[in-house]
Amino acid sequence: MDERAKARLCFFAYILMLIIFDTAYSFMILNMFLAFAALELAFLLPLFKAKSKREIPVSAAFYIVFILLSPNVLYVITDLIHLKIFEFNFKKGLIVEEWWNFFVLISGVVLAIYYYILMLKQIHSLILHIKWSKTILLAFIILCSIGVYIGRFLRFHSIHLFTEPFSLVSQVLSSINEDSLLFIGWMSMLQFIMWWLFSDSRRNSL
Amino acid sequence: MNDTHTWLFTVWMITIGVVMLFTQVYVSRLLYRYEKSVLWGCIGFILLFGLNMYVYQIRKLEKRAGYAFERLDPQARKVWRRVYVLILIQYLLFFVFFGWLSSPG
Repeated sequence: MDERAKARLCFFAYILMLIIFDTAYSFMILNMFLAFAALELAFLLPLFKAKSKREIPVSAAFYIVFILLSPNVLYVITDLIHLKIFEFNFKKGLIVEEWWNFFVLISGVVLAIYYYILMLKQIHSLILHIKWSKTILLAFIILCSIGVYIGRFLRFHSIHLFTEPFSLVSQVLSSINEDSLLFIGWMSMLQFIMWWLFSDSRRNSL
Repeated sequence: MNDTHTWLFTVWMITIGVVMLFTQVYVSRLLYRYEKSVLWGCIGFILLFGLNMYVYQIRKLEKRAGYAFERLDPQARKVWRRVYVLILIQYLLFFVFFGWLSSPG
């Protein structure tokens, strides 16, 4: 089974599991859907690579939508904070409900890491022959981190860039401080680590 | 719900409806033409929200065109780009619609 088939199969199995079984993390249905949508858009990027001047507007629009959606993949990893709703006091013995929910959340996060690697591989294979490929990848990683910061702390969604653009920009600018820069830096480092550990540079095209 | 809100809601519903209907008919005709199969024509019309293209992409298009769509001739490439843009427009319309519905204003 190839990587795409695994990603798709795991997505549908995961969503089915969340629908059928009782879990505290049912919000993962929406979060995983958005992450999966970003991955599927990444798979379509080669089709939207502009081959003539006439194709540039549509291609640019498609790439912008993809860039706006892409932080949703990394965002799922930050959902790990929701583990705190359980006590995990092992001195009280094994509480099955806690560990079932642990399994549900961690499998979603692992899946999101897999999606993230596939998405970066796809981008890397597209820009491989461009002179500034490493700079573009770096910019993408930093944009993803900023996207996660905006979504997690300012509670904005990609769509607010269209519905409330001025409010979004002004809130982002006013919230930038040492702490937010640290967060963005750590998220970027996390992405570098994932990319370095899990991507195989010899087989980077899907 | 005031009159302006009701009017805007109706306009949104009609716009989304028209775009969806157009996309379904377009995809259905396309799949029927490419596959010469009534089944694919029906799949193209019945499955909503881009699921028709998604099923076709997994079952046929990726195998035929390659993962990077490298085996598509320019004409087919143009057609598939158009189809995906139509589906994306559907999603963006829904996205903005629900964003508008859920915004407090």
